[in-house]
Amino acid sequence: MMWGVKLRGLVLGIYNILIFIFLISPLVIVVLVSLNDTQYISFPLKKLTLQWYKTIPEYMEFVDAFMVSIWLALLTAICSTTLGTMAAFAIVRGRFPGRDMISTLIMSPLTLPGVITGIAMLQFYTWISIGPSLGRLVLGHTVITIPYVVRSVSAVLYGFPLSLEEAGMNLGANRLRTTFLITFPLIRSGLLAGAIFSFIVSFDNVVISIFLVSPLYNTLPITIFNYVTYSAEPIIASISTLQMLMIILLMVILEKVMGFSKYM
Amino acid sequence: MKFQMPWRQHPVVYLLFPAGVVLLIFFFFPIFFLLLLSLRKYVIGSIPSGLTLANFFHFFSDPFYLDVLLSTLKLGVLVTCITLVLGYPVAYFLVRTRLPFKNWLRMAVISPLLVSVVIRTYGWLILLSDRGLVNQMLTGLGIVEQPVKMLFTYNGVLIGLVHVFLPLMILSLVGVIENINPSLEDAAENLGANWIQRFLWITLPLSLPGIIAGSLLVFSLSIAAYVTPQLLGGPSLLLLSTMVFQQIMVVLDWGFGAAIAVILLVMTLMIIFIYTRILNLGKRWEV
Repeated sequence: MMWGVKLRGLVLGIYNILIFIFLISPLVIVVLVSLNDTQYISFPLKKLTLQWYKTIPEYMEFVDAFMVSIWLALLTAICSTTLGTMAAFAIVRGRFPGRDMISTLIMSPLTLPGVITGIAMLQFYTWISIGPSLGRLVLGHTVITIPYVVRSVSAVLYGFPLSLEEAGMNLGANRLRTTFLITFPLIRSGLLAGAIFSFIVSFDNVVISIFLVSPLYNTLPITIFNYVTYSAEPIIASISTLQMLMIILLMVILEKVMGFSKYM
Repeated sequence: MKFQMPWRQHPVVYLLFPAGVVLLIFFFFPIFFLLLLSLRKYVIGSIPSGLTLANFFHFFSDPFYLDVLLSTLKLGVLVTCITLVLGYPVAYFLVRTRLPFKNWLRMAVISPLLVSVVIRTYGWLILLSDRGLVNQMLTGLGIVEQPVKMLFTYNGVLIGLVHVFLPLMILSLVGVIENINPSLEDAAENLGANWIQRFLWITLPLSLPGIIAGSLLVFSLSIAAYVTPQLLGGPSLLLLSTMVFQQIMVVLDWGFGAAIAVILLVMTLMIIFIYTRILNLGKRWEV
């Protein structure tokens, strides 16, 4: 009996390790290729090098795309955090008919596949003649990231003791002062989680961006996507590795702010 | 009933407007516009007025397009089944393990979700190529003599999609398995059930809502996935999503492209409808 249990535990453990290897292997291989001195990788690695990282500045399209992506992700995070936080307040605090339906509608950009949303936006923008610009990318990304903010902000708002706000108001602060001095500091973690999540989603997005970009406003993932289609230069691996490092850094911040697994 | 101060009641509702207006104009209206466009025959240079189902007839009367539809659905079913079978033991392990760093284990499994799909797929491009690591291992171990062609094949896309959606499936399963009271399993064991019986009669039925919800989620997302099929399938492998892109961006037949997108949309909405019905059923059972 005991042996059976132990054996089962062992098998389950080994199985999980194998799945874990499967999950991280494509990420690890990208990092390895970025450090390898030849384009084709064979084990054991012969020589590790940082040469690909040094040549990144020569690839202007990647540098430009990185800047576009950073601006895009920042603006998206600002817009969706503002709009999403306001909506979350209304949904959590408001009492009005059709509240459940409205919160479902607000979350719906999350459930529709990106291809559909992307082409719908492209056709709409073309129809109302909004040409390729950073603005239409920001709008597109804001729409799909609002649900993340609503989710993380309402999570903290639900557990928020209203008595603290009442105390502030009783002490003579007006509603605006109370909101900024009491409410926001207390729900800061939800706000920050929503903002960082929006930033990551926007920075990683391909499927909406691919319909809205133009040669002048190309994002980093789209540039990588176009490159990968035609070549396998290790330069892409080094750029991808840097992008992963940035996302990991943001994730660690998010985990420090509050257990991020709550929001997945 | 809780007493509510009047100032808290009213104005807060108006905070919904900014997000509501943005979503209405830049999300819901474009979707509606897509529906409208799919009902119009597109001629380069102008869109004739009048609604028609011609685009849909064109799609459903051509065996070529039906074939694409079928292989898309088949891919969705395969991805769903494989992620379910692979993911269930992992989800079970993540919930029941007594190892330290439980949260870190969970994070490690979920973390690929946060890396851009392009980068994950690029990793598979390297791994699956004819001279890639997988082929090196297979030939090195003597399992195959010639490198197996995996890149730009249906199976390559399948591997990539399983990788993309496995964390999502695990996440849905963890949600329900967490709510299963371990004492129910202990009780079954005390009553003499072996672990297979315990699994089949206790754990599996209790995790059914999560299995169904996770499967529907993965299915609806995988039939519409674009990046992975495009990169790992190459230009010749057509699925609904890659065909939408082709029609819109290359062929420039916007009406037909919109019609294919609407077919995808309708399938997704049907799945979401079933999904919410099942979640509601689950809620009723809990009471």
